[in-house]
Parts: sequence; structure tokens; C-alpha cells
Amino acid sequence: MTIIRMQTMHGVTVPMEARRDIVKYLSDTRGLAPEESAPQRALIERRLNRVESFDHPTFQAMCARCHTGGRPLLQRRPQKEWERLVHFHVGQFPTLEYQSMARDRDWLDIALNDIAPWLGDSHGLESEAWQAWQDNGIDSPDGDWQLWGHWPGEGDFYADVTITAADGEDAYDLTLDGAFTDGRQLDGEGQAMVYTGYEWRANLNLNGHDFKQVLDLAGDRPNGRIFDDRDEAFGIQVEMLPADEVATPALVASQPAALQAGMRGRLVLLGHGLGKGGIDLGEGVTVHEVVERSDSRVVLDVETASDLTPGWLPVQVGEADADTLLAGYQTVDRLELSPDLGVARVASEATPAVSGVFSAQGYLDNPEGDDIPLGRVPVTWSVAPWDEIAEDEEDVKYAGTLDAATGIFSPGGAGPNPLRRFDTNNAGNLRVTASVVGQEDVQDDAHLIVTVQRWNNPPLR
Amino acid sequence: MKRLSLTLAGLMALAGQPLLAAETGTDEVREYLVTMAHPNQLHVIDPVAQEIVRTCDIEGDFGPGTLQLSPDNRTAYILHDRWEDVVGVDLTNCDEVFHAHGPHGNIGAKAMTSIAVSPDGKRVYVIWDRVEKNLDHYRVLEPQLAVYDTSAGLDAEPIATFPAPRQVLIMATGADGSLYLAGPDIYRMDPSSGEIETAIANRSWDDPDYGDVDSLSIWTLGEVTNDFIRPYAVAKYPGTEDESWYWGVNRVDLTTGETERKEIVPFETLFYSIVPDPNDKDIYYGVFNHITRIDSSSKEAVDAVELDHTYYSINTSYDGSRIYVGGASHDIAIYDDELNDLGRIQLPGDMSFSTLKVARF
Repeated sequence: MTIIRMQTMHGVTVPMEARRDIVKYLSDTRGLAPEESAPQRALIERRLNRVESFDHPTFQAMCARCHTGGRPLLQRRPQKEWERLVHFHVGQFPTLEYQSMARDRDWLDIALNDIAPWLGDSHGLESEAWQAWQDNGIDSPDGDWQLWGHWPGEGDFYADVTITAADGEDAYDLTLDGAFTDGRQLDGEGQAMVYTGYEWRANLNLNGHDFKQVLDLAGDRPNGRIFDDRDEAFGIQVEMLPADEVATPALVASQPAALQAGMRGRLVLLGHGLGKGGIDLGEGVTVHEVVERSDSRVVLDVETASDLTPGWLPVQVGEADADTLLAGYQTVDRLELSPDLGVARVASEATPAVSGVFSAQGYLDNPEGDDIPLGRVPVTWSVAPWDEIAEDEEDVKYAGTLDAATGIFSPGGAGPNPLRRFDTNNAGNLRVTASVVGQEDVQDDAHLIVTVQRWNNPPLR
Repeated sequence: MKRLSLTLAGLMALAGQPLLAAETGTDEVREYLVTMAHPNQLHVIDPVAQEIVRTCDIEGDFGPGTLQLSPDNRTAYILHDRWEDVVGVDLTNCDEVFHAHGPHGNIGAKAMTSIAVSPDGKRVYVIWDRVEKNLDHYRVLEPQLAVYDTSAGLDAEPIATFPAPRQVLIMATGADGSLYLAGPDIYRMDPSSGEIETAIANRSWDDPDYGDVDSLSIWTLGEVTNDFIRPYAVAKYPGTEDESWYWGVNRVDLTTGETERKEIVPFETLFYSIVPDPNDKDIYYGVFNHITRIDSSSKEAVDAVELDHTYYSINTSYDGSRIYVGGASHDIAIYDDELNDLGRIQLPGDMSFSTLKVARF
């Protein structure tokens, strides 16, 4: 962003290739260690609909009212440079001193004499973590992996991923060969660059859709997000496991997370060392067929008994077992929507829509401990006015449409609407409700605000 | 003097519309609305005929479009060209008669909405928010009040400068020459010496019965009643069961210098600008999505009319019989003092945050 600002605000000419090289060089030599970027993964992955909180009484109002607080907290500067950042802000964006939460205080004085010293102390230039990361690092990611996630509106999927070194320092090609759990094919390919030794940035094409991918490769199980660069609300949280043989067999993930009594369908179990040995899912679950089996994955055709006992189901695949990986249920006790509060944005040609993407997680009451998560259970989605004003203004009619099957809200078009009171935009204040299929009284609400477009859309908001 | 082009629309409007008093050769004083609109046009409007009388293209980009009038109302001084220029325009013929540019060398300067004209018309006052742009860093400088001689022409430089407080928006001058600045407090400055004092305390107002005062006032209104008016919002008895929110006004009588700060109506409707009724000092009109008539003596909204869209800037005719609302979009709405709709004047471009001034000449 600093280089782009130099280009757009100060007329510096930097060819695209040189810009990439500069970013690569700076992130490799002046980056953040994994534990330093860890608190801001959601920002780096462009996850929206979050509310930040900070360890400082006025940082939110002083800085994080215009952009995320994560943006400065991903930087490291000596105090003098933090002070210069304050001077730059007032010089470049002079209206900031007059905005709400600035005009009620001596903003510049507080920024220079309170915020800058605090940042200089908590986010100074030097850190032991960075030094340790430079001394150690991790291995190159080339090799075979297994990746899985949930594609909103499409379903759970898994894929074998092959990463190979490409031309250029830390450049890679990757291919994906996988499937949705209902058996539909999922293919993809992409190109990636690794920055700072662990920050994976890829352009992906999955089943004909273009995505960006951000992964943190530093841990045992690399994870991150695949998202639509034009509609960042639309994303897929993914995890990845090495497909190489490892010493200890283990079950890591189940798709779906729960089986309902009296149903037949596919169950996908992911992990290590799953290639041989017996498969046992307990009394209430019959395995009709092993559809696919490898060291890292088994795909099963299973049927649950109509009298299945609700709760955790014991899972055994060869030498790997898990007793809190897969749940069974008769009915859903509780539903929880995510996000609680979503913000969608109307669409124009210059500013594509920001969708509302909701998910509904089911839970079983568990008197013996934490409620048992059932993952995404079948629900029906609907939308209603949030309050009387939204009803009077017919927000439901104008703000967009919610897909009853997927929970994806598509906003209306941007600009003043002459059909609306005050010619207002297709904004809306909506209540999104999901109810469990067959259990209409088990439901949960979320708040969806449909608002105007953002005009300034840097990669880190 | 630099002759600015009259637009075709302006010429056509002129052809069929009442001419300005000076052009008709009569002494009749007429009332006009004066405002800026995108892309860079100054419009002089006859509010009775509801027609644009004259349109002046002002070189440079729009913004902010804050206007002040000379004492004879024939010259408009505009903050223009992305907040970096002050332009004086003769409203009777579109001639550009004054021009000052804020930035110099590596010193960047922008004027938010801080512009005022001395009561004798000989000085224009502007506060520049300044920044020193060095090769690898910026350094924010103290804001500067610049005093210009209005006869200095098109390359005007300040004849004096004084340090100014930060966060000042609108300004006005009193009959005695005092300059009033609406910043954290309302300040009174002697523009011959730069001496400054607090005229009305806001941020420095310390009353435990009230919360912090919030004010965003960027419209240089009040010329009709010769007041300097700044609305504010405040909580009374904050944090208690009796907490209640009010709109208030900082008001300086520019004729006498008397100051007033008072709550005028509960905070139930959003207002962007508020002006007094010229016929009754207790009555105010506020605008955003409604025009609301406020009786400050009873602290009640006594009448309101819903508008067809948001308007930012409100003003009245000198006789108080008409209420004008503009800004935001590209039409000016006119209402009578009973809040009956008298019509709309369409402009070719959006007015955005520009001031809707009432001029008489």
C-alpha cells in the first residue's frame, strides 16, 4: 500500500514487476514473524463483518474509526516513524480532524503524544520474534497436500493439492483435484508466491471461478481463506494437511460434521494413515460402501439408524480413532447464525456488490459439557424488516434478495432510487432468519445492514 | 480582469429572464440565491421566477463551494479548486475579480470552510490548514489565518498572517470588524493584530450537567439576520436516568457582538444546518430530510414538512416569507413560511456541500 500511495499520490513510476520485487524483498527482509501476524489473520484473509477490540482506551476512536486497527498493528516502526505516520495522515487527509470522534478532541495532540508513543512501545521496529523467524523458517511447500473447506452455496469439498516450484524465487504452481461431498467434481489450478517464508498468496481458478488464496504456511496444518477478490464476503475457510505418510495415524476432519438419524449419504473422513484397517462408526451407523480410500482420506456411503443415539459418535479407521469428531443427532436443539451482524453493499459497475454470506450451525445440548456442534444443518432462509422503520421504508423490497436455500444475500443496485422515500439508495436494515428444515421452531436471527458502496478499497481495509 | 465564460444555459436563461437590477438601469433591489454546483459553476438564481439568471464557469475543480458575499452582495468569494483557492466573482457579469492560491512551494494548504469578508469589503480572511511536504515525510504546520486585500487582483498574496487554532470551520465578521471563528470554541479574533479570545465556550465549557458538545457546521449562513450561527448537539444529564439530547445553537449577533449558547429543541431529527427566522429571533428553521420550524422559547418542533430528498443548506428570504433549501443534490426547493411547497429550481450539477446564500442587489 505504501508503494501504491507513492504512485497515486506522489507520481512515482514503478513498473508492476518492480513493485512485486520490492514487496517481496521488503516482506522477506522486513516482515513479520508468524506469531506477529497471527492476531490479524482475519484482516489479512479479508474476512469481513468483524468487530475489533484493542488494548488502548482511545485507539478505536483515534485510528480505527476510518480503517481497521489491524492495519497499523500489522506495521512495526520506531516512535519517530509512528509520529511521521500521524503527520502524513493529517497532511494527506485533512478532513480527518473535523470528523466525528475527532472534532470533539485535540486529535493531533493526542495522536502525537499518546497514540504514537503507545505504538512505538507495543509495535516498535525490532522484535525477538522476527529475529527468531529469520534464523529458523520453514521448509518449502512443494509436495502433495490435502485441502478442505466449505464453498458457500455449493457445499463441503476436499481436494488433493500438488504444489511444484515455478520460475522465480518462492514461486509455485499448484493443481487441485477434488470433489464436493455429494460427488460433484472440483478441479483447479493456480500460481502462488510465498512471502516472508510463510505468507502464501495465490491466484486460483476453481471450477471456472477466479479466486485469491491467502494461507499461513507456518503451522503443522496450513490454513487460510480462498475468496472472491471482487466480493470479499464470498470466501472459503480452508485447511491443508501434508499428504505424505506420517508416523502417527490420525483423524483430523469430518464432512459433514454430524449425521442425522435415519439418513443415507456420503461421509468423508480426512487425516493421516487411513489407508488400511477396519472402519467402524459405532452401532447406529452402517457403512454400505467404501467409495474411495487413501492414506489421507476415506469416502464412505453410510446409513444411520432411525434410533441413533444423539451425541458424539465413535469413529475408528484403521489405527486412527476419534471420539469428538463426528456427531449424531435426531433433532437440532439450537441454531446459531454467523455472522451476527453482516454488512452488504449495493452494486455499481465501479464497485461490485458486497454480498451477505450467512451460515447456520446446529448444536446439541450436552448436559455433560460444551454443546455438541453439528456443523451446517439443513435450514431455510428468510429475510424480514429489522424494525418498524425498515418496514415502512420497504427495505425488504428494495435492498436485495436472500437465497432461501443458501443464505446468500445479493444486494440491489447502487444510486438514488426515485421510487424510494427521499430518493434514497437501496439500503436496508434487515433481519435474516434461518429455521431448521422440519423443525421450523428451531431458528436464529442475524442482523443484516445493506448500505452504500465503499469507494476506497485498499487490500487491507 | 479575467473574463469567465458564460455557459450556454446561463445565456439562454438570461435571454428570457429578469435582468439584474444594474442591467435594467433601475434602482430596484432584487433578491437572488447564489450557490456553487458541480462541475465548477456558480449560479445566480431568481427565487421568485424560479429560474437561473446567470451561470459562471469558475476555472478549477469543485470543492468545497463555501461562499461568502461582499457587503454590497455583488461579489461572491468562493473556496474552490479542491479547497486550495479563493476566488472572487462579480455576480453581475461573471468576472473573476479576486484569486488567491493557498499552497506555496512545498507547503500544502487547504481551507476547509474558513472564509469571511470584512464589513467594509476590503479584506478576505481565510484559514489555511498547512503541511510541509518534505522529500520523505510530512510535517503538519500550525493553521494560518491569511488576510487578503480584496483589491489585490488575481494573484493575491496575504498582506498579513496570524496563527489560528486547529479545527476551525466556518467564520464570520462582526460590524466592529471582529472575526468570529467556529472551532473547538467560538473565538473572537482581532484580525488587525491576531489577538484571540473565547467568545462562546464549547469544548472548554465545563458543566457537569452536560456532555461533550458535538458540532459539524460547514455552511456559512446567517447573512439574512446578520448572525453567526453554529448548531450543536449535546446530552443533558449524561449517564443519568434523565439523560436527554438536544440541538442547540451558538449564536453571535454580528451587529452588536452579543453571544448566546442555548438548547433549542430535543434531538429527534437530524439537521445539517439551522438558520433563524428573520421575523422572530426565537424561531429557527433546520433541514436535512425535513424542514422543521423550531420554537426555541418552548424548545419544540412546532411544524415540519418532509422533503423529497436530503438537503444540506437552509436559508430564508430577507422578509422571512420564503425558505430555501439546497446542497446535496441538484435542485433547490422553495417553501413558504407555512411550509407549503412553492417549487423547485433544477441546476445542471450537484451542489454537494456548497453554501446556499441569499444576496440582494
